[in-house]
Amino acid sequence: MRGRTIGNAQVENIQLVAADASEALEVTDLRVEFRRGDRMRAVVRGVDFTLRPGRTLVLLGESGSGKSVTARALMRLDGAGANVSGRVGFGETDLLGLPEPVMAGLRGSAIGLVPQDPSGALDPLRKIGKQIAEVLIRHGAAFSPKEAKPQAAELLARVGIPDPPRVLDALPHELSGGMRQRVAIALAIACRPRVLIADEPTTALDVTVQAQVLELFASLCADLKVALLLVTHDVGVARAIGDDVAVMYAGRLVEFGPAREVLDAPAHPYTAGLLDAVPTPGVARGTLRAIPGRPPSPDEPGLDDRCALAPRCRFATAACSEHRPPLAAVGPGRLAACDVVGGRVPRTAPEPEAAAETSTDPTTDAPLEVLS
Amino acid sequence: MPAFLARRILYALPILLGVSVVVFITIKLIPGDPVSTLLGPSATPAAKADLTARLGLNDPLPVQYLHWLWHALQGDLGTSLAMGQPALTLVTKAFGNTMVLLVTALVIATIGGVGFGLVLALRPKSLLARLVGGASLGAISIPQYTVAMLFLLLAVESKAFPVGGMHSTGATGVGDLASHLVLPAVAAALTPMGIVARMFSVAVGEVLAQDFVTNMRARGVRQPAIVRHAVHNALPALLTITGLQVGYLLGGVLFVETIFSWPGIGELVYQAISTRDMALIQAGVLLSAVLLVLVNVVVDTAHAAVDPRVRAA
Repeated sequence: MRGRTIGNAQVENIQLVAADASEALEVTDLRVEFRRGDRMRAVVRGVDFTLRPGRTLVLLGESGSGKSVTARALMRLDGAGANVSGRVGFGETDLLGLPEPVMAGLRGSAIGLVPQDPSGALDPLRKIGKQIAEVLIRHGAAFSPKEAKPQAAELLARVGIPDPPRVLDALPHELSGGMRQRVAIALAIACRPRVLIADEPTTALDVTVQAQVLELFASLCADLKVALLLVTHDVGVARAIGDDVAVMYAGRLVEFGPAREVLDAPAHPYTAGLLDAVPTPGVARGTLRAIPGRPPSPDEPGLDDRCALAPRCRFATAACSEHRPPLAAVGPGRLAACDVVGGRVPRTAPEPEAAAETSTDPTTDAPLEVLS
Repeated sequence: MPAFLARRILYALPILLGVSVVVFITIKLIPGDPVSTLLGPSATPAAKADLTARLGLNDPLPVQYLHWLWHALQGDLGTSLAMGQPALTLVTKAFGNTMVLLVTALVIATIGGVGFGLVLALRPKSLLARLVGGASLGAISIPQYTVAMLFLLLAVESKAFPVGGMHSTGATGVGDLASHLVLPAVAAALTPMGIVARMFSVAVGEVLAQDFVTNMRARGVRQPAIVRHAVHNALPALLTITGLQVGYLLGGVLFVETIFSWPGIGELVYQAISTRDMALIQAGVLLSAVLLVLVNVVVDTAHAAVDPRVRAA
């Protein structure tokens, strides 16, 4: 599988180089702008991270933070209106500099994408088997539909689909949402990609199915040594599957570090706010704390010169509106972009408005495992 | 699939029955007394009464209808007064000629419409697409009889194509038929072609905007394969549009046939209306209606063949 060509010789070289590197994908200063009328809106404003084989990086953030755009930009799927700059290093190669036909050869073979909505992953009129065969044949893993069939059945079995022959012969609408998502995953890993990008892969699924799909991702990551980038807004998902977590806000990373540490003891007020907004079973009513205000629009001026969270942050000082804190080390393997909280967000101090409600119930913060 | 077809045909039966009622009543509503027409102005009241009784015109309307339907089911649609032949024989022959014209026009409209529609959908900003877009708008806006008149004028001037009839005198070859077909078929096809082009381009565009297309790109699937998927998904829409064009063409060829003296159903019904030839009008309208109902059955069945989700419904 490793020596196989993907369309042309140049791509083969990329594969060989990448196979020796310890980084599967190295993203440097990624910026994405969209043309809107005669001006550009910067949706991603300089993001750096590295994906490593067998490890899962969770890109965590709320809607509009730029996390999905980031994920799609890695595969150059943001469309003709997008202006992507920076570097997406795949071995020695910068994916952003590749000619489109070469990039198309890498999509689905070197980098796989699992979309958010499994019903949108598949052609509604084509049998599952044919759609898998199409990808296998496209990337040279099979030469005929006949040859692709056993491979396709094997892939379906790998993603935990019972009775693969029946599913190969089925149409997308005959499968449940969870099954469709498994098929979408099978399609994404069909050609043994080194990098897998999953854009909110569990958002459209039932909670029970979510857990199964996450387990599947974890096992793929471990068995296939694939580097997984999982985009989600769900702190629970991040906790369940992430090795590392990168928290994104207003087009930038605001915190990065090992998942457990970041989610147990956040070093950025925004991460802390996200955690506080998670509903937890067993916690009294009225204790959810939404982050006040709204994320800034990409059109808002001055986002490069101040902390984008400042207007919504209860720790903000005057300095926060005057310069933008850089993403700096706050501990071993941990980065955060906040000058004020000094590497640890004090979690017991409630907001002034919320104080009356929360102070009456001493168990409020207990399930969040606050270490103070 | 056979079950689906059987069900469709079963659904078509009540529609056909309804059509027969409407056709029957319409003829009854048209002013004019067939007995006076048959016997002429100098007939005696006794002769009139006698014929009225013999034709069953004294019976209540439902009885008359059942009587007519019974004969119609046996292939007896009455006798043309003007031509003295069974109406069905005349209508069937003319219908065959109309079908030659209609099917040719439909093929031209579909092939052209699909081709131009793809240009509009896939290269919307190209010069060709702009030309096609303008031309299709023009084709939709200009009525078929105007185009037919224009063609007739040009043909008379240039003498490039024969200007009327189906065959030159004495000739029966396919080539001769084809040269006679060109002008009326193209004249009839232009409007449907414009409609098919625009609707099909919209249908393909909608498919291309769907998530699964982006996700196929994310799997590296190349553009030609993506276009194949898109066309497949737009086929149900194309079938519906094309099916509607059959009805439009059936109405349109009436003018085109008259202008190019094509010996088809349009010309026949036109003459029948001018001479108050009731049996002929009835037979012509009935056969056209039956054709439309059958076209709908065919379109629905083809739809089910393309989209398995329809089969289950």
